[in-house]
Amino acid sequence: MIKKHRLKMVAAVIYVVLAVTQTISAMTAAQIMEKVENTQKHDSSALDISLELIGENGEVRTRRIQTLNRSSEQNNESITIFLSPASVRQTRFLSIEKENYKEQWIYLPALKQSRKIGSAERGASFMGSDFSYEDMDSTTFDSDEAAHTVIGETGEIYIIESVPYESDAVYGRTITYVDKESFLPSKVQLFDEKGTTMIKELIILEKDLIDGSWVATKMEMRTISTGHRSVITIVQAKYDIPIPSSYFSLQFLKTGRI
Amino acid sequence: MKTKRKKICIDIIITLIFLMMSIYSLSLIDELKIDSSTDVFIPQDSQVVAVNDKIELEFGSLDSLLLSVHNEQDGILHKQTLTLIDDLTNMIRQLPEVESVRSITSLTHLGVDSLGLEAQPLFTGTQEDQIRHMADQIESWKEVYHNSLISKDLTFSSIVISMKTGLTEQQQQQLIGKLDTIVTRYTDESSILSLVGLPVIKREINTSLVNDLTFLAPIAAILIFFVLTFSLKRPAGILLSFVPLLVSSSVVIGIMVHFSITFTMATMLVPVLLLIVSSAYAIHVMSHFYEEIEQLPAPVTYESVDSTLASVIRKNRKPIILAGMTTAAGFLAQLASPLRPFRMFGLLSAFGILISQLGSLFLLPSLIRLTSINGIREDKRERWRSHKKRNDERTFKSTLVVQRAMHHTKTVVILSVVICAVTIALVPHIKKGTNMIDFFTEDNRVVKDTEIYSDKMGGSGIINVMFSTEDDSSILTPSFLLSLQTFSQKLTGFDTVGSVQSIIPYIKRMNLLMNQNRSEEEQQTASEIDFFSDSFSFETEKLPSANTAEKKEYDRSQIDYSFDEIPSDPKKYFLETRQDLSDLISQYLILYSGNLSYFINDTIEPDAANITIIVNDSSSDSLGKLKDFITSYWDDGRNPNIDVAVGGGEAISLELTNLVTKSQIYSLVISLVVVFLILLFLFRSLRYALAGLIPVVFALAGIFSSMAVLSIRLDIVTSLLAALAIGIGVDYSIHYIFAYQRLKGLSTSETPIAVIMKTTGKAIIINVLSVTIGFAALIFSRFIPIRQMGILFCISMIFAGCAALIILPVTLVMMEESYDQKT
Repeated sequence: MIKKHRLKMVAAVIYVVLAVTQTISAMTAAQIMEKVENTQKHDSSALDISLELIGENGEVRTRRIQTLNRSSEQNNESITIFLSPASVRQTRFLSIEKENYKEQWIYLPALKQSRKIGSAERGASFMGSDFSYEDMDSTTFDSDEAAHTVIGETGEIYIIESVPYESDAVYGRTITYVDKESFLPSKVQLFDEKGTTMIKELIILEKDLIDGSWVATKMEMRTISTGHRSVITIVQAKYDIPIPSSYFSLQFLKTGRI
Repeated sequence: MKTKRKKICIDIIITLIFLMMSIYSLSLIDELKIDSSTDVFIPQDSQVVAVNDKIELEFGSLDSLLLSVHNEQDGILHKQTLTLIDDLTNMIRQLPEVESVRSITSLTHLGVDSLGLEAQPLFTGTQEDQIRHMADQIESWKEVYHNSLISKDLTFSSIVISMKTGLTEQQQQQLIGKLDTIVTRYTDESSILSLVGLPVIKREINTSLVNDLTFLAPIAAILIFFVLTFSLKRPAGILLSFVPLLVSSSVVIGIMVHFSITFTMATMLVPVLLLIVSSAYAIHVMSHFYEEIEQLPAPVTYESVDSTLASVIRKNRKPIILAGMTTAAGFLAQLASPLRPFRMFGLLSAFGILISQLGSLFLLPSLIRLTSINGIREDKRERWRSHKKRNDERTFKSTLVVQRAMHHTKTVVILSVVICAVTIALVPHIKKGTNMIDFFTEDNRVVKDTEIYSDKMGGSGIINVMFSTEDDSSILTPSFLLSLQTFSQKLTGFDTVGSVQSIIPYIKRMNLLMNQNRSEEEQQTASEIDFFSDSFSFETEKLPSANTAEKKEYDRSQIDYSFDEIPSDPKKYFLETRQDLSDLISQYLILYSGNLSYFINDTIEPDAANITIIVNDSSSDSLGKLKDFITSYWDDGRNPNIDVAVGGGEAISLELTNLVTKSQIYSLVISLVVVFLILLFLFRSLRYALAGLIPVVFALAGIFSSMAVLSIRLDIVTSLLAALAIGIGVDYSIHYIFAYQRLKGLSTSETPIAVIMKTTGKAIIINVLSVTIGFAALIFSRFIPIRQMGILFCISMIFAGCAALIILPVTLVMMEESYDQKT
């Protein structure tokens, strides 16, 4: 009888421990992703990027772009300039994201015209690469955008599964391998809308400590179905620099002047 | 006694060896590698295969599956139908074998909003206003949507499923199985789903092929059983004759498995052909055995059976080997074919002939001896004699026909010449082409589904044209794009072309949308931006300020359709050079980068473009005309930097047709030459050798004239026939001329021709009957080309037999008379 009672006690203790561990893990997952978000977040940045498109046959095409980004709690503004190839040189792309409001504009130098682009292009390929316009912003969900769960851990990484709250998200699920030292993702697996099939995989190839912050300087995105890969290399970077809002205007997009 | 035991032991060993080979071969049947698609016929080093590989590498899988939704009652733009298509699109996208799915609910539409370009989903929901908006959008850009993903009458829609490249045959079958389940589950009273496309047809053929063989082989066996019954009349003889036939057919299957030879539409015929062709050898041995054994004095002991068999084999070894050699020569002529399955067919059939000859010369005597250990009863022999009497009466009637012909030599000659002349006139009218969908009868489900798809969507056959260049800028130049536009327009002028899909409508659309309400005054000189250049500063005051031009409102009511074009005049666009226009087009395409991967291999600097031509007629004539047009259009030197290559499923069909025709000519010429040389070697006389070709020529006349009259195409199956008919037809000449040479010097009460009709002529009739009835089994095939092959072979054998028994004797007699006159 006593033996049976003890067994019940042990089971109850195990249950409580497991429940507490689960709770800690869930909190930890959100915290980890918040830290990932904070590591990657800069109030502003200017980046000079080389983009390599690597076909299944090994053929490499290189693009060069520069981006200027400024973000605050509610706002995120960016302007992207295409530098090469020559045919699209100075084609520019402006994105203004405010609370409940998102718009994108493109400037075509050959037409000397800017046009608004519909939001449907967010999931479309960026310059024919494996990165989408969405990926160019971020490949991980912020702590408040998704339900995060720790699904694995080793001495060096956390493995976090994130399922977005919004049903119209480009990815239905992501699995992020977070480097414990830098709190940068070392790998992100991106799943389709239903979250069942992995469609792309991002691997951070190189990282660097710049101005006290860890920055991914070289990353590869691979599309699973085609084997096509794209590699982004940060050639030059400036972080947390003061950027006036006039750089994120239609006037600057069109003319290069303020 | 000791010798008898020893002989029995040897016979048991021979029988066991053959039977074990046969049983072992049949046990391997499950391991047969089956691929009945026409793809296996095309040499892997052929140009069209290289083109298709390149297209697949640059633009993804060519073998698309097409899941169609047909709703005649409510149409496609209806709440339930659109929901169904959207659900199906999402569901199929999840399948692991699928690379991409396109449907009207997954497309991005390029439209105009109040500020500019709006790339939005074509399908936004199923509310009434959303569906109406969708209908307007489809109407506004018909050249992209109609006959591509939705029919012109809006009652039929297609979900295009691209498979991942490199899927195994099994994975493809799994995917088709899953899609079949979806079709069954979601078809209801209003929406009818169906699955079409080349992979579905291939699956249908593969499934039918094994069923067909398991169905045809017993029918052929039953028919041969009747022939053997007719020829031999003795139950034991019928059963024993069957054994070598079954052994040769099954051993060939074992060889195919052992050497991993693919079971194709051509090689599947080998076991059935062997069953039919080999029956002649067995009949030969058995009938001679019965003839001799009947004449022996009673009682017939084991020893007398043994010595009779030895005599029969001794006498018939040469004719059987010769007949086998000539038939094998017909088969081996296929080695000259450029098509591997044809070469395999030839090799396997020739090897099978060898096995069946060994079976007739060794296994059959062993079996006869083993079943006659106690000799043959006298009452049995009495029954055999009565059968012989009836056969002699039938032979007498056929002799009368030949005798009459001998009195009308002129008529026979004129008739022969007319048949040859008509055949020559008909040959150019023979249709060519191997279209896999034509393998099936019209009541087949895949045929019906494909026909409905073609009717609604303007066709289901695909030709791809790939344009490539070493120069990155050439694909997006106005001159090339204008040529491409004219090319597409001219193609749509062909009755056989349902639609042409290319990059052109997308560029025109971007040009139209991006150039609305533009004026030269609006142009401002823009400064170049480089955030990392020394001249750039993040302090705004250091940058030059812009002129604040008055903002113009975008006016949606006035769309200037003069911009619905490929930009070609720089002035119209306030540009200076054509290179500027090329740059402009590149800049347009940045916006559409995710959706054009099937048309250009890179968004900004493509060096390859692909256009898809949907055709509704897959005949070689129609495809040939299209290909000629494509080649001649781009050969005019307007775009010297652009390489043009034609690929796609229909290009494979066309190439196959050309190779089949080539193969037919090679095998025909080689088998005729080989057979002529054999005749020359045997008879040592040019005249006899030429006369020996008469049954062969008439066998061919029977085949080719029937093909033209009955509209039977020369395809991967029917083209195997001519060389085979030559190989079998020449046997009749050999036997007949040998007999004629032997008899013509002898002084008998009857003419040599009359004597031959009672001996060799009778054997020829039996042979013609046996192979004709055997080949009639092919008429029961579920594949039309195999049925046609059966019909043609029956006709050709009747032609060959009649030529050997009527025209050949008339010719021989005429030759003799003319020789006598000269000497």
